[in-house]
Amino acid sequence: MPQVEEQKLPYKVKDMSLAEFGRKEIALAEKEMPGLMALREKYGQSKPLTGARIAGCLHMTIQTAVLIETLTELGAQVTWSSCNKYSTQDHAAAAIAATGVPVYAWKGETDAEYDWCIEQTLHFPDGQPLNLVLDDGGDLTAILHEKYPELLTDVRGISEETTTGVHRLYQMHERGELRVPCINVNDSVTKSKFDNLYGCRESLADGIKRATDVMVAGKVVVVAGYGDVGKGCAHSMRSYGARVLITEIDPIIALQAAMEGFEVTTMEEAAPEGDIFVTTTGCRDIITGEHLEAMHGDAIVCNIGHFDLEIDVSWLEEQAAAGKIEKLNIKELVDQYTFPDGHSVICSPKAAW
Amino acid sequence: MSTSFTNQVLAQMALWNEPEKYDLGVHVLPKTLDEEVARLHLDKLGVKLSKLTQEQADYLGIPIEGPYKPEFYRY
Repeated sequence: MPQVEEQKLPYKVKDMSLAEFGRKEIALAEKEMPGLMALREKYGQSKPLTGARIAGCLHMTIQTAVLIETLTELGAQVTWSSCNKYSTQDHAAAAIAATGVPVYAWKGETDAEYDWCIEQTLHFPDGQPLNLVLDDGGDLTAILHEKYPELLTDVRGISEETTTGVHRLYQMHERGELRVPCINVNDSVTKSKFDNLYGCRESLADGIKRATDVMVAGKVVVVAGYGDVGKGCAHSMRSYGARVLITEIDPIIALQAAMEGFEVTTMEEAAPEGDIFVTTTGCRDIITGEHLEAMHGDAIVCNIGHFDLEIDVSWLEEQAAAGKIEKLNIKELVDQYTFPDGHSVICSPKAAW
Repeated sequence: MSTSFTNQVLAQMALWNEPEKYDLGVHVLPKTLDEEVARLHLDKLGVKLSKLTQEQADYLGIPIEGPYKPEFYRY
């Protein structure tokens, strides 16, 4: 093991020449993050996180860079990986690496690289292990519990960012497997009723347009799930002039959607009707092969949920591999699949937020 | 992401400095901190917040400085 430690990379990012660009955008983002900047002003002198060694696993974006630098300004040591293989902004990672923070993240990691990146963050440059966890989605938490339980002894706690990760924590606790105290950040009112709702209300349209350059006005948009994220997505699409259909399993939430004037129906009924499909559920198998087959024209199918299993992309891949449908890569993370009857779906299942 | 990450920093501070308050399990941050996160964002957005008088606070039975809602309030 000491040999491994000696060879450990101080950081791993895609391209350090992007650091200067990253720094410029971080400076812009600081203006947009008044809460974090207020905490720096309030606690920058007293440094209440002195002694904390925080391993973070959360989308390595420009906004996250402002979070990392707030933690370090409050006295913490920090290591970082991204909680999604595709969401890293390489200029943000480079700018953070340039400050000496061990960050292991780049856009387009393989599954093996993703785990490797997380594992690099468990020990700090001085060889000491982490003593706090900041997680998004629960992968770092799961790796610690399953592969490195001995490291949990010194961990004071885990703060978890998102609905999916919180759900996993409650499940672990019910099974008696949870080893450390956790704070569910997601269910702070100022998190789920803000980022999930207002954040997605803006990022969904941004993601769809970057991926496809499509007009939303006049289209039929199907939003699967009408939780906080689904509400943001549905209202965003309606504001662009789309006709929005909702699918929902929860009767209270289905009623909420109906009272807002949305048509609530099943995916079976919505599939042939929709032009754009967005999954927001946190559940699996929301859009299946049967649904994809039933779609018309050039339907656009995308996911804003935490994991990319809401759309059955593996079915599309199997069909393409078997020569039953034709796959055309449009650009990074955007593929078009054409069926024998001529209809096609444009799929971007790995959208992150 | 600012409200979200401000919660993250407060959660890290709570776990680090007040571990006795968080036993094994899954907790949410106290409402006072939730309100604090919102408060830290108001200036930037030009929000002018009203303040309860003592008479109003007594009438409602809540402190002038909050928390303003019971735990079961859903916003």
